[in-house]
Amino acid sequence: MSDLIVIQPQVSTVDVTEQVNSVVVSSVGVTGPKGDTGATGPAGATGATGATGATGAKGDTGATGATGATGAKGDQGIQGIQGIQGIQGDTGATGATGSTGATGSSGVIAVNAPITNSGTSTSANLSVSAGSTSAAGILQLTDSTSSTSTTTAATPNSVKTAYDLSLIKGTNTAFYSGQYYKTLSNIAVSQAIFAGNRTNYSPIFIPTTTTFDRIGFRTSVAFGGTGSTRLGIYNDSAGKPGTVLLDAGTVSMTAASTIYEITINQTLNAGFYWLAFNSVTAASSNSINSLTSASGGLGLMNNYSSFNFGTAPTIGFIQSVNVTSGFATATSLTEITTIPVVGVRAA
Amino acid sequence: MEKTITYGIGGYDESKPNNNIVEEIDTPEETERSIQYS
Repeated sequence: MSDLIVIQPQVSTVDVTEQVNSVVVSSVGVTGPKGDTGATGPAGATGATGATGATGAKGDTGATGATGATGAKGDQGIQGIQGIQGIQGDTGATGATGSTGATGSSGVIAVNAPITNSGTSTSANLSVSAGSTSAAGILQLTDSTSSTSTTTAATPNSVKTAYDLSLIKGTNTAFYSGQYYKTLSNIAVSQAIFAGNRTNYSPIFIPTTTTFDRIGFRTSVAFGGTGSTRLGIYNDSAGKPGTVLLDAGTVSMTAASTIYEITINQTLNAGFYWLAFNSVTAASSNSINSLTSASGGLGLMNNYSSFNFGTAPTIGFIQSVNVTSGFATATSLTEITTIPVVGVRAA
Repeated sequence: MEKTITYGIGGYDESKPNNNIVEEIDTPEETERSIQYS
């Protein structure tokens, strides 16, 4: 194919055949009319790139971007001001017991008088020095009321004895040594028969502590036969005989007008007591010196009628009892107006 | 004649000499006393 086309004005026609490498114009004839514009040819090859255009106008602001990562920890701030002291809290629970402390070091125990220590650092040997009028110390107790010791101490018992003796001296109530004492009465002594196995209780008042060395009675002139009588002393119990204080034993009665007495060693404190008489075996004529309260007289106890010169007052008690084996606590007492004269002798 | 018979402590006791009678004393019989007031 040719790259050059030659157009010859004066031709009537021009044939254009495609796909020929050449065009041949033939005879010149009359010029025909101008033909129609041919069809547009194919587009040419792309031209070279044009020069760069001018810079465009600034675009709008874009949307906010995403939050960035956390920054690094800042420096420690300045210490704040101390706060106000708070209210005191409740008491806490008791703590656990502490452990046992360590054993202390051994040593000689220091003591003060009157305590002394003759021991060693590993073994104490304590004692108390004896006291005296010039030094405090331990004293031996004593019941004595006659000791002149200056190195012993009196017991409450010895103090009481001394106190009782002081009462005697102060009130002159001591019984006369060697004399018999019996139921207080201004009744003349008479005689009476006392049946066996009956304990007759005669009251006696002891004004101050006194020791007695005899207890006895007297058979009357009317006594006959032989018998046995037990004698003793009873404690008082609310105005009546109570428990046995002394069972002196028995005497064998064999003669009239005879004093029968038993040796005793009995101290009686101040108060009422009851002298007991019981013929374990009554003699055929068990007549004993006695006291009988008189009508209107003064006995141990007087009821209203006896104040009015009525019946003889009570002067003692009687109890039916066998005391062959000894006296026992008094029971089942009956008031009586006749008692045997039983006495105790002051030592 | 009056008499006073004294037993030892414990009273009559057959196991002891004289049944534990430790003393027997004869004493004159009591005579009536005459009291005169001037």
